[in-house]
Amino acid sequence: MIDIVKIKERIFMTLKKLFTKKFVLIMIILTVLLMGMAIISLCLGQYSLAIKDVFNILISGPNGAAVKAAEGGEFSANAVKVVYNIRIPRILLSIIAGAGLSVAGAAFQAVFSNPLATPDTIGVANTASFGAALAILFGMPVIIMQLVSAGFGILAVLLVFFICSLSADKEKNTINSDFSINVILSGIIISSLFSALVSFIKYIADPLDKLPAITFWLMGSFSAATTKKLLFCAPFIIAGIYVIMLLRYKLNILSLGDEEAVSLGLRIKRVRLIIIASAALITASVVSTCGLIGWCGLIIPHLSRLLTGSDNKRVIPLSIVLGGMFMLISDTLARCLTRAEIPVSIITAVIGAPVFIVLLIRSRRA
Amino acid sequence: MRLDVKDLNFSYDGKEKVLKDVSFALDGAEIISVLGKNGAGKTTLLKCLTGFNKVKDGAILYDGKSISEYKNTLWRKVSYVTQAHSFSYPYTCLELVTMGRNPHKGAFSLPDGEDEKRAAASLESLGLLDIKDKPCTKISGGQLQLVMIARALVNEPELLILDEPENSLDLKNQIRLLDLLKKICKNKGAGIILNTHFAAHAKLISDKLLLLKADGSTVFKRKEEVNEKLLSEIYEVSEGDYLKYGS
Repeated sequence: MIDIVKIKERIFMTLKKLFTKKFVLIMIILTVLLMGMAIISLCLGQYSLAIKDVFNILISGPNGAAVKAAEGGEFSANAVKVVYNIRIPRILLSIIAGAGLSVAGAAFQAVFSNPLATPDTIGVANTASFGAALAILFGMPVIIMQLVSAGFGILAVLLVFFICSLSADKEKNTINSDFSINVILSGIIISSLFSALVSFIKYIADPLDKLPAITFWLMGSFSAATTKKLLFCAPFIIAGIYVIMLLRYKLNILSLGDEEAVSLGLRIKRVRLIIIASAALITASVVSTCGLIGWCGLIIPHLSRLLTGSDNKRVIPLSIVLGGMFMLISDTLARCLTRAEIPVSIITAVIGAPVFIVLLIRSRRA
Repeated sequence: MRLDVKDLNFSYDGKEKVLKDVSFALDGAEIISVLGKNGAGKTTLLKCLTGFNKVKDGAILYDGKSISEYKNTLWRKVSYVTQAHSFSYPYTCLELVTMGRNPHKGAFSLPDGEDEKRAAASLESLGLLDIKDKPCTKISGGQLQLVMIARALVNEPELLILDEPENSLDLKNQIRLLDLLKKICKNKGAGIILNTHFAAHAKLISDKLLLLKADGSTVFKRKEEVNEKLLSEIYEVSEGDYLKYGS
């Protein structure tokens, strides 16, 4: 028995060395792996496709494939539609959302020097879902719902900073070092206020029509992904990821605490604001399109740090790829496991909880 | 670098003065030790010098320019090592020391091989090269203190400000640190200001001493001019006790 433990330990150490010293190589391998998984995921589902057909459809391009299908090629017109109109948007959205939530989680964990922070630490997700529930209640079209939801997400950030500025002691002669704790407390206030308001909307919603729609939406799903939705939210998520990628080394500095960060020459107020705004933008965009999806933003940064160490220089890029993979796998399971869709947040929780326990034990031992 | 502190008064709450009319100057490669009993305001003074405490009454001038004009560029010339260190994430010692290069890095740039080389050299100068890959959460308090000093040095500061650096160091490391500080001052021309409880250490390495009295007033003298009688007053013990226990 002892030998097995030793072997496991050795495998883990080798893995960690590989992820640290050969980081670029690992990133290339993981990216290729992610693309391979995406192609496999394209084949899977209620309407299953042969991998050969999927390749041909992809190589021909959307218009070329439609022409080939009409000419009576190896694949049907339905297959082309399934690939281009349903599965590609859905797969891309799940990868981008997973990557975004993971990066947002890693960013919040660094900014607040708190490994348990999540993309929703400052209440963006609950506030954005209130916006969406409100829009569903009034029967607004999907695109308006997304706008309202994202708007409320941004409102959450503004409210949090407003509450912080109220509680900041301007007379004090010292640098305000309570900022992080104030932000988290304000986030809790905003978060619970808006989740109560969501409950209120559910309470007054039509139980036959609106209530199921709101409830299902809140559970989080990529089932309604379309190219239009993808184009609406992906640019914001990618922009947020890009900004955090650029500033990722500053996350290290911020995670040391305010006083240390200042004495390392960082303009903390400015950098912190940019990073929080970017992470909030990502979260609001994901929630407004796909609903509430938990766990990804918590476990993926933890997993990345366990594999490659704490340096955000590596943690952020690794979180992008692993987050994309995690969400792609979860969503593929969500649509393939049973005949009816399972909300993806249920899958992420079922995978996430045990994985987190393992990570916890692992990081204690390491 | 020249530092002038003129008529500095400081209070946290606007009523009780922690520092009263503090004036001193550091010119180039000098070591100044700040002595005073617990609660005399030693750390408060260092926080004023580094801008963490906002000074409204009095002047702090670096090379003739007020501290508020520097903003974050001050940290390219000044390194500050605080007393307590706690970390939420287990960065390796090398990663932690490399972060000391941050004041010289642009907003979007990552540290390069050169920065890492300097960080390793800085660790080596303190005899810490063998723990460079250890997580900073898993080393002893004394080792961590030395790592933090290595991080301060990798910045190549013109002025080094240290808050009780010998705390939690064993005798060997105390000697190593004091020797190193002297060497940095002599070879690199850096000025050093440190808080300490060890008057003997202070007299060994410093050029001048800044004594903080309990009432907030100060005495600034060359070390030769500071005698046991004055020190016993600072610590509010009898001269006999000071000679017996203090030195």
